[in-house]
Amino acid sequence: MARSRQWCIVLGLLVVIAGCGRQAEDPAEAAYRTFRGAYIDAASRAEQVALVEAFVAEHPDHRAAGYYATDLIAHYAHDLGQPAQACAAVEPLLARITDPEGRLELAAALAPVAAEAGRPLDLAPYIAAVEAQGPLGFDARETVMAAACKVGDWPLAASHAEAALARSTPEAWREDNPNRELSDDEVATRAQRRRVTALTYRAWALYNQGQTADAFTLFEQADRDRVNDYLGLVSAPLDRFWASALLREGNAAAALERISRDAAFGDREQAGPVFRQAWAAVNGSEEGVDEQLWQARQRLARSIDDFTLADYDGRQQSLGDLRRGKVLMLAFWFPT
Amino acid sequence: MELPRLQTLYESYREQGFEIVAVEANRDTEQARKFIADKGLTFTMLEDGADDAEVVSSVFGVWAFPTSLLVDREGRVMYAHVGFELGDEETLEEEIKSLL
Repeated sequence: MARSRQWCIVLGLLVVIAGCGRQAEDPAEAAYRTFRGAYIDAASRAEQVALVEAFVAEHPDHRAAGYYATDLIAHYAHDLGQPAQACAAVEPLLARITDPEGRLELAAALAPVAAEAGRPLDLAPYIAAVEAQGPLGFDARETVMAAACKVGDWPLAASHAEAALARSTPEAWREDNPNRELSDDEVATRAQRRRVTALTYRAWALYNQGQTADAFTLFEQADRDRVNDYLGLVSAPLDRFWASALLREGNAAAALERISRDAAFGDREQAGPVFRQAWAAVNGSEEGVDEQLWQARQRLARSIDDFTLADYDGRQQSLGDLRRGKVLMLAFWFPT
Repeated sequence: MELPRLQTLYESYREQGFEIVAVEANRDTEQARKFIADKGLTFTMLEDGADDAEVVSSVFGVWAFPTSLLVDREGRVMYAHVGFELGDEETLEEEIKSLL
């Protein structure tokens, strides 16, 4: 059963949602807080889905409605394996969600499932609705590129990757984030991260259009630009696309090496199958794949970086002191 | 992983040497304090630094929430988990037990 990652909120949306939270008197916002609290405390998926359905039906104009509605897709299509039912549940909502970006996000999440259900969904009108308000931001481009790759619309993926590349400069980042006051170094890092993402999608789109040599050049370029990719956690899907291309070119050993870290620590759900295929191609069968993955994990595990931050009593705490000799869970979170 | 569910794991395994450190990434001090008190969270709670002093994205490259890392007694990151769905706590519990 494929597990989706509905609880993955990227920083951009986080800031928007957190910003909404400050207008405490807004009834939609109050309803959102109540919904979100109940969602966290829910005892079952069925209960969560019911909460999402009720919230989105009641507040299709809330900024987070499109985001949460993607949970319905995860539930029907991935948990239950019923893509047609996902379409039936989400299509009426698509028409009601008022925020064009939220609607595009939901349409992009539905597109691969709709294709699977045999009723392809054209993203063009959803993209046009966002563009009517101004050029697509980087995050929206990323959403479109990812969806286009999933449904195999390579020209769409390539054109948005091109546009995303143009927005991968420090100047563009500052324009898109006027309220963030970061140093030039930090902004440069963020711009570079955008660049890696754009290059990755462009490479994969080119590869699938038969431009093999250009694609590998771009994969290598993205690899050189890769920044702060701690275990490859939430980075662009560079290693997965690159490994898939290597595998198709018949270079299974290189593919296996390329995908190992992502399969061991990163996006296991998507990297796992590529690892499995690469291992089967190297080994002659899938036998021993779990052992191989376990070994990759031992070999590639990195040491935790130390840091010092303040607790809520104002005391400085060092991670090294807190974890000494213990098994540690380091949890990154934010309240909503 | 959602923090209230981590609290349960913390209570089950802390005597065997399991520690949790949570870092709030958005510097929303007031909401964080309220959440911690409401949910009765008793493990170590830290707040990320401002701008250039921030750790979550600049040191760990974490851009999506919640994200959790599981570190063994030798300080090696052995498991990473992005996002959370009901049922994930069982996977996480198995991973914790394998390291204790």
